[in-house]
Amino acid sequence: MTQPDQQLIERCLGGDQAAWTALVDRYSGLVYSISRRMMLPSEVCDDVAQIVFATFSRQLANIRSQESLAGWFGMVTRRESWRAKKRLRRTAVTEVALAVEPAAEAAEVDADEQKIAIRTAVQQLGPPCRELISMLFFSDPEPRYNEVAERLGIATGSIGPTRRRCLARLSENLRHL
Amino acid sequence: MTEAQLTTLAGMELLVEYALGESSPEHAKGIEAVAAQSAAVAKRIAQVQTTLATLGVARADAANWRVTPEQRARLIALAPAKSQSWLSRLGDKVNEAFAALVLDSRATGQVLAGFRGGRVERHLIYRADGVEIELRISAGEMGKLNMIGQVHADTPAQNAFLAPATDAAETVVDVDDHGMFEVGVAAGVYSLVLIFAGRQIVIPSLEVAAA
Repeated sequence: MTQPDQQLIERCLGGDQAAWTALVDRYSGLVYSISRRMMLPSEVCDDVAQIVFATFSRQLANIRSQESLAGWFGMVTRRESWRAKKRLRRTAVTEVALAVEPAAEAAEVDADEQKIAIRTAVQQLGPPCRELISMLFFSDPEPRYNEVAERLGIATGSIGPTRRRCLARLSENLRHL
Repeated sequence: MTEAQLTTLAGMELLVEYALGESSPEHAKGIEAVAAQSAAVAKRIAQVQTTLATLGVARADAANWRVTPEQRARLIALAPAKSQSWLSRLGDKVNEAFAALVLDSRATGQVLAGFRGGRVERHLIYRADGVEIELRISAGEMGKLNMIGQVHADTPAQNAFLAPATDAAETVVDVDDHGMFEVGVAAGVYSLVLIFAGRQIVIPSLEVAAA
């Protein structure tokens, strides 16, 4: 069962490596997605990710009171990515355009929180729904139905009904969040 | 079709089918008729549509979310640990260079006096790997020392850390886009680590003391 962020942070502060790993697994994709969407080179995305998680590691005790960890990761990653982008000077975007307006930033934070919430909710589904939804929506490249069927050990024709059942369960879980 | 039917988990499957556009025309009509009368059913349909929309965004962004096992391992290595310094957490894959002391005004007797409102400053210059780091240390407030740094390099430093020789916590030092930083620090011996893209420059055993 996935634990809430605050519980994982408390465990981290107590030296629990497994809790740290769980937080890395929960938020590393978000961090990389933000810097990659800004078209930063791969090695710069690696640097941004290391800076963000190193900052997170050092400031854990302060961050535990944060309302939204997804919001914190999104904000810090965007800040470090913008700084890296300005240093690279590879775009024709002006300095004015580089500044993110508060309303746009708030919308991005909301989007980050939704993405993390849905991935966390998927992890809370039991098998095979967790595997099915992950394969259909979080995999790159998107697998074909016969590949999904083979991986899950079900008939290709039953993927549709199984998908509906799993999406219903996921929607119901999110409704109760 | 009734509100009671559509507000169960089985009913949710019918709503998912509807939101996916996979309902039969009869089912679709039945659901729409109930939704027009029932706020609860309308709300559930909206929830399903939001879930599907968010999943759609996730699918479009799936390639960007990918984290390789190597990338994952590097981030896991950054776990907070009392006995580990930030340096060792980065691992040995980072290109690291140790800066050499080029100038220490204390050693040469060329103390800068009358600078910054009459305060005496100690001036240090370190060099490594095409980077020059200039430090000016003077008496600060509350018994601390004030250290102003200027990093001269082709690519700006992204970040810096001041790690004491004791077990005390490291201090994060913000380096601005011009390579300047300023930090108040107690006298003592530190490692100053400057982080650049793909490498770091370390000033080991930096004795932070006034002139």
